[in-house]
Amino acid sequence: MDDKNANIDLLFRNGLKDFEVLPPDDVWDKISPAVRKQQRVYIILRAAAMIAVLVTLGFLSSTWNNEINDRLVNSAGNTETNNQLSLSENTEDALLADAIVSPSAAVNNYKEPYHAASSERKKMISPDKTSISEAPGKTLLEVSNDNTLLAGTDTKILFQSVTGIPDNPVYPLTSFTETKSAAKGERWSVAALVSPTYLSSFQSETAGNLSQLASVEQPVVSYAGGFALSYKLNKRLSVQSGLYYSSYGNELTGITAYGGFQAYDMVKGNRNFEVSTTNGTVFTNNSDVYLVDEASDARMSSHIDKNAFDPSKASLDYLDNSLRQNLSYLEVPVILRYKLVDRSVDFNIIGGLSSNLLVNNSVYTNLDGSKYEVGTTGGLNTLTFSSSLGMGFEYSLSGNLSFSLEPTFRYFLNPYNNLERTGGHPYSFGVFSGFSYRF
Amino acid sequence: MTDIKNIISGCLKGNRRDQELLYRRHAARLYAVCLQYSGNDEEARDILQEGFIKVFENLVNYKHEGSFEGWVRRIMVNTALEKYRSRNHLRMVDDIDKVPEPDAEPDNEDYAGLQAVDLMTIIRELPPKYRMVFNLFAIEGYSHKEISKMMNISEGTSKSNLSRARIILQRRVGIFTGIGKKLSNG
Repeated sequence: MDDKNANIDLLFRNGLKDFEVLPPDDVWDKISPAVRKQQRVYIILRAAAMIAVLVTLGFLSSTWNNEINDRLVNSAGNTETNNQLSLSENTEDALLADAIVSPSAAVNNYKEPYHAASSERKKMISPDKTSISEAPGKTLLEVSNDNTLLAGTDTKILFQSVTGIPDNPVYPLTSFTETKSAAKGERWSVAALVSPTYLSSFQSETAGNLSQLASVEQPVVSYAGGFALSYKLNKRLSVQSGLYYSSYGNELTGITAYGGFQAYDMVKGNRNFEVSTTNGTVFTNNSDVYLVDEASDARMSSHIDKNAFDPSKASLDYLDNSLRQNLSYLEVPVILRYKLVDRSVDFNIIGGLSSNLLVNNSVYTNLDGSKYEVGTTGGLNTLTFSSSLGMGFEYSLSGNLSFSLEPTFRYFLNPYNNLERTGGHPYSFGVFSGFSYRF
Repeated sequence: MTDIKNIISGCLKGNRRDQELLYRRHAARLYAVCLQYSGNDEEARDILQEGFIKVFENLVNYKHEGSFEGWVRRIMVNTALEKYRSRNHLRMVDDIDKVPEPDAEPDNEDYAGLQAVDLMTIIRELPPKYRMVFNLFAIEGYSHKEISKMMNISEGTSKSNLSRARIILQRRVGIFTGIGKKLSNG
């Protein structure tokens, strides 16, 4: 009975194993639009995710901005209180009555735009001694708070003219600078930046095959460039975005490329050779190219039988002894920039996220000094995300024009090859330099 | 193998030519699987269509571990199973006792001359639940425990269904081979 069961099972299993039936033609016509629709949904979801990230970053930066503002108000109040207290010990009591203002009003004024009309300020610091003297219960603390928070060119002059007190040492430089700069409304700036870039990846100790591949590859210094638009959230914090074009290069050494193979290519296939690299598998699409791997037997495969074709006996043209892998991306970064040092040369800490759209994927070799296309790298993600961290030096050349130098380290958050385990996490390093214009 | 990687890569990039190439390359084999799991051609077409949409939808999750054909086949089988559940949910009660007993077990074990198309015809004539259990057990290699979970039936029911499926198949195979012998003997 068991044998009989096994026989009937085997009969159907083996009998139907390779059975094929062509489906009706209209099945694919129904599948294709559904797949395209899903891809559109996927793209929309990606875009929505990007927008969500941007909105989140915007919200966080806004929250951070408010917190910093509050801290500045508090610290400014405290500092000036102390300063003014010490001042009052040495100066006339008349000062107390000359500028009596509520501290809450002062704080409110601080939060308002810096270019508030001077008439409003006059309301806060009334030159009318009579009215001031009628204000009971005002203290030295209140006076000093207001004094500091209204620090500004015209305010200071007004204060002096009213009180007759000489230039007051309590005005901090930063406060004054901020007010002056803000009065001009220079919150936006646009910059054009370029950088040499160097792409590599962190290799895992256990990834033996990848390590071998990496040993016959040489990252090539490429370039990146673009423009950036930044908005100053407050004195120290800016948010920046823009559009960059980044190119990354990787040289595959030890692979000799020959031309003129098309005459011998009996298969007429476009993918004669496959080369494993740390970035993914390179597929040749130029049927005129013949490749010989001089450095490693393990990384290249081909359907061309070496027993049937001997390259040494064919009249092939030597092209070069290496291949160059090139990946180019359009990048849209969202970067926060925090000014640590505010001097003639500013120093900023820069960090953020970037979405990178693959716009060029090519592998080429050299032909008479120019590029000769060989193929492409398979399985690359069209969209990748990277985080960046850097520092920026900014030197003011004139009122609105500055020169920037920004060494930046970039770390790819997702692998840029979605099919194969590539060489760990790629990273890039660049030194961006350029000019920015504030307006 | 690398070729399929390349095609998958193209599919993931939204390349329509690669998507169609992937379909054309596997459609005939998978349509046969769909026919094997369905009682009529329309249902088989639906399974193939829905299964392939799932294949493209989940292609990004394929890890290149094991054969791609096996991975796609599993998706088709699961789609067929879902279709079976949705179409037979009202009949999912265990009505094994109501199924008439087949005739006496056939003795004929001479299966020579049976073509794949004959086997396909025979297996598709099985009642849906017998066909599903036989396919999952004898063709796909699932255990009764696994089948009981997949079909939401007891292990005992799975065994009974398999047993009855085998008896029906043996009888039908006997009839086919008998007819074949008669024809060959003139």
